[in-house]
Amino acid sequence: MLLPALAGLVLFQFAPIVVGLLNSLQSFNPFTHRASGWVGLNNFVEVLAEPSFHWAVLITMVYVVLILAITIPLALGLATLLNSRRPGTTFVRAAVLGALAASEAVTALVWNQMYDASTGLLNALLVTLHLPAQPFLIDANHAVVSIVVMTVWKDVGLAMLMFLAGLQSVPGSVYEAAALDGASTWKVFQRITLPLLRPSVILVMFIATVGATRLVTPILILTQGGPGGSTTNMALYSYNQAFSFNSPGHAAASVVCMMLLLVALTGGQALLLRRRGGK
Amino acid sequence: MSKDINNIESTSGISRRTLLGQMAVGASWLAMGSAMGWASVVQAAPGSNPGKYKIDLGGYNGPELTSEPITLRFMRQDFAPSVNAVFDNAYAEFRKAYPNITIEEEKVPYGDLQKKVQVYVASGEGPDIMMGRNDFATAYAAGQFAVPLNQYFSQEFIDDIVDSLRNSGSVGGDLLCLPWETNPVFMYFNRDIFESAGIETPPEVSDITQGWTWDQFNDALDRLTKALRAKGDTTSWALAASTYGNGGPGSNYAQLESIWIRSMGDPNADKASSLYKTFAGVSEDGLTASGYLDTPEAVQGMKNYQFLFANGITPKGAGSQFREGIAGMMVGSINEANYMTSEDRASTPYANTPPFKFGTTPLPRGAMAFSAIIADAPFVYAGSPHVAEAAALLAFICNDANRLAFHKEWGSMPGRKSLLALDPRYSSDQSYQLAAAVAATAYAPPQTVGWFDYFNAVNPAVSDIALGADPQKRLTNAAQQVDGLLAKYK
Amino acid sequence: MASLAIRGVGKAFGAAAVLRGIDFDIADGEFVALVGPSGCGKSTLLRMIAGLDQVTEGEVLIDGSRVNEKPSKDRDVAMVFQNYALYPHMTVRENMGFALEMRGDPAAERRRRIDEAAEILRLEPLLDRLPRQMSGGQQQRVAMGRAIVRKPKVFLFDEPLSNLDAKLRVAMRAEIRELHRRLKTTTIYVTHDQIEAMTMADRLVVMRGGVVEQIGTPLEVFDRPANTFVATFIGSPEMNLIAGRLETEGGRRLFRSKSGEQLAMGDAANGIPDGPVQLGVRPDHLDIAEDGLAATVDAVEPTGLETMIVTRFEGQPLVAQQHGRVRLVAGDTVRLQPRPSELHFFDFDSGRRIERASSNAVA
Repeated sequence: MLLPALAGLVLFQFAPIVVGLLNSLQSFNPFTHRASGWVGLNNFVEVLAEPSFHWAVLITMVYVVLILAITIPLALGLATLLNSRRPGTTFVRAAVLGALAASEAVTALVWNQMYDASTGLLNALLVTLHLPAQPFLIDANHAVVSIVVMTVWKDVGLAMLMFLAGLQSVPGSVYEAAALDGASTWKVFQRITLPLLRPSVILVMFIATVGATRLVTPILILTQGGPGGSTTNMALYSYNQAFSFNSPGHAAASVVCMMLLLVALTGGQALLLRRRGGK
Repeated sequence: MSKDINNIESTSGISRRTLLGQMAVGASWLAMGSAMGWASVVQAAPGSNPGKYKIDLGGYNGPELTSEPITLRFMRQDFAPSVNAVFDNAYAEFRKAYPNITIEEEKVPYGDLQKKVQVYVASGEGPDIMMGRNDFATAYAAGQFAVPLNQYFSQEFIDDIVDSLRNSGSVGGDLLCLPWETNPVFMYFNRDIFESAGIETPPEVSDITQGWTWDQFNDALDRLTKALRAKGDTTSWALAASTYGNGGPGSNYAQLESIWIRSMGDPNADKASSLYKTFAGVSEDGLTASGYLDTPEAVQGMKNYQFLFANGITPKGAGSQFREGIAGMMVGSINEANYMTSEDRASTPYANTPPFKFGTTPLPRGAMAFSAIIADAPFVYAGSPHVAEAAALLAFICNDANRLAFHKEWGSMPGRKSLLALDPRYSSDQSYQLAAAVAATAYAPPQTVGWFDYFNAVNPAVSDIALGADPQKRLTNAAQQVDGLLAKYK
Repeated sequence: MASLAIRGVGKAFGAAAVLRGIDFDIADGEFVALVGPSGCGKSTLLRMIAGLDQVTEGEVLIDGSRVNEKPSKDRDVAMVFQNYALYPHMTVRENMGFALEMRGDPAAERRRRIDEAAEILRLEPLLDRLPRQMSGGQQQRVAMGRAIVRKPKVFLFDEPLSNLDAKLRVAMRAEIRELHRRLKTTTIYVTHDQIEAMTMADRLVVMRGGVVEQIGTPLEVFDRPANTFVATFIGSPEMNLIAGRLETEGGRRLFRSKSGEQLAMGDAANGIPDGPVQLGVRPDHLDIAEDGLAATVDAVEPTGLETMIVTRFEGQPLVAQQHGRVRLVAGDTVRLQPRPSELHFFDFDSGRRIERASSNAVA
């Protein structure tokens, strides 16, 4: 019974990791992309010497931090709103889940049009409101934020659902008890809701971290990693090495680095949250 | 025919040249209308082997095809249904003659083609025929995964390919891919917009050395922009966004950005000179871009490019403003003329745009009149178990009848001299003559086996410069990046 | 501590009325049980007093002032929930101290009060545990501890024992009663278990279908049930009801059942007119005799001290409870004679109690 699942896991999870590791230690024929020999850590040495790779590592972290910093409070707010079953929440729920269900590539294409500096909807709105038009995808800082905003818009639904599930697993009587104990709405949120959502927060952080680290489609579609490589994260860097620059070895090495970073990030989070949770 | 002319005359605002163009199109299309029957007339086209095989296998002169049941796979871009139908009809005819050969097509989005080729080549199991591009010929040769077509195609057929195209697809005398159409680029302008703004139109010539200079071009478009804005027109642009780029911000000209840079150089200058290096784009051994991509001339070329974006002459985003009738000029190929003069305008990208008067002019020139030649060019995969049959199928698809049917539906310019000669417009109409002149003199991309890396690194740099990056710094940076990328080919 | 008044309170969810015309007073320090079958509205009434549900009709007064519009946190009432509703992430000490913290009691005062409450409830060894590390009974005591540290005006208990096993329930009953004896806080206790209500409360409010059926001390309600519902709901095993008529034959009062069986009434039915009635008799007031209602034994259930004889009379179950052992088996016919002084009479149609002229009901 377990065998098919195990086979799938080996085939689709472990095999690619092993292949990636092996590839990172080999050189490749740039024309045929076939391995041409073992080179030890040479790929890593070369990749780590690249200033553009350093930037990609930094920008990967920037995406992670920004996406987490926006997603978690926003998802929590939305989940709280939906949990209250106020009128209109059905609409919010449908809208948020609709965004989640939409294809990432299609979403990115739509936002690409909205962000367009000269013909996009967002600048049209800003101009209508007598605000200065923004170089959304043109200026490096704007572009990073634009990618983050689109990604959060797209993916906040998943975090929201996880928070909603967390909220709904708390018996209503706990909130009633808190009300009778004289707690204000804010105190209830701070002292009851938030601590009870700790498992959901850990889960959301983990999933959002993994997602933000691997972010590639919106970048590819909105900025192609530009301007000046300023929005290229490690995932896109690897993609470029493999598919634009005929360097599968470098691609594999940077992917291995990305995996290590991911392990470090999520491991660090787990350590931090566990310790605080076990007080 | 007369009915068509009546229709055209009844439409107001059509220039004489447009009318002539339409008549020419009408005539030639009528001639090609019964393409199959008409094909017999041209069976003796250069390089074909009438009667040698069961059907007209065009330039193929290899061994007779196997009678074993085999399957041939062809990976190409997806076209509109009417163009795809041309292929389907051809396959049906092929199958009738060789029922043992099954043909399977894999259609992929155009933008994915070259990456898909790479993936197939890396996997070691690719389709028998894949759609490549002439600018990758050096890579095909170095990687040894394209079959030299000289082994299977007659020399006359190969000689019939437009010289610049043939050269771009050849390495060391081997034709590695078959440029089957060409898209020589030049400039279109919307005469109505120029005239109503009171700006002089560019020279309508077919001699590519007689167009505007970059200075004239930038100056005229700047004045046009100001004139448009002065009238309160905020939706029109002097120059349309590129339709060659990837639609990202900083509308770019993909591989064609080299026009701005390399036109500032000179192939006839001393090889040690900055002028020559600017033209070459890469060192003699094809492994160094620094000192070639970032010469003072190249930087000036990119400043010219940046000028367009910095002064609001062209949008920073994508779009098809010219086709919507809201752009003064655009860079385009002969397809545009074919669309605008088509008797079936409703099926063209201009379907929703009221007709306007257009003209064509060469690309602006710097130290030289430069155009790059990029063409789709299928190749036979060296790993194919049926190389001869694959070559025969490719030859069949490229026989005169099938090519003419394709060009009729798709609107592109034939890549063979004999086919061009069949279309009277290429000798009588300025736009078509211009296209032919560009095709005849266009240059291959910078000669490096790492061209794929090269343009993937330079393209974002051009995009960044469009968005305001310092041309000097960004080009130097890109050149250094290219140097690093080319190191692996040493 | 406080008195409480429920004045004409009703509750409707949309068009559906779940409570109608509830009216009663609770004196300061009194322990009142709201008892009734599930769905009778007792929990809703409790929640309205707590401020968790809105009062749609009438008013709730605490110490004479109307609290309808006051949010829960301002009513100074404490509630113990059926599922305890402890804060899962807080220790016992934190759970108990939460309300004190919310109202801003200083830390020392909180500690003193928590320790005091913990001592009363014998929770000292558990103060640093989390709820999930404790048994149901312990959690229930914590929930009570959380209620008492605040010294609220009113305690509200919502079926607090129904998640506990039978033995623990009996022990907790005593504990709650003891707690009330010590603290003398006005208490409203909701339960569907009439024994719980009887054994704990000073007064019962018996409810059914959103209305109050009877209010009284446990024994008043037991001895003089206001109607057949209360008669059968309070007391276990429940009171038997036998349909028939009162007749006068030759100056003697008698009860004739539907099938014509007769019971001599003697003085028991004095003052009650002839006509159809429902005769109520508790099982332990039904004796096996030479004479009486002829019933068929369905089952004999010895419980040690007593024996339950479940019989069938005119198609209806008739239960008799006898001291000691009985030699009967299923299928036997037995004659059952009620003790006339312990009879209850109810109006045949409305089920309402009919009082006899000479009241010597309280034995």
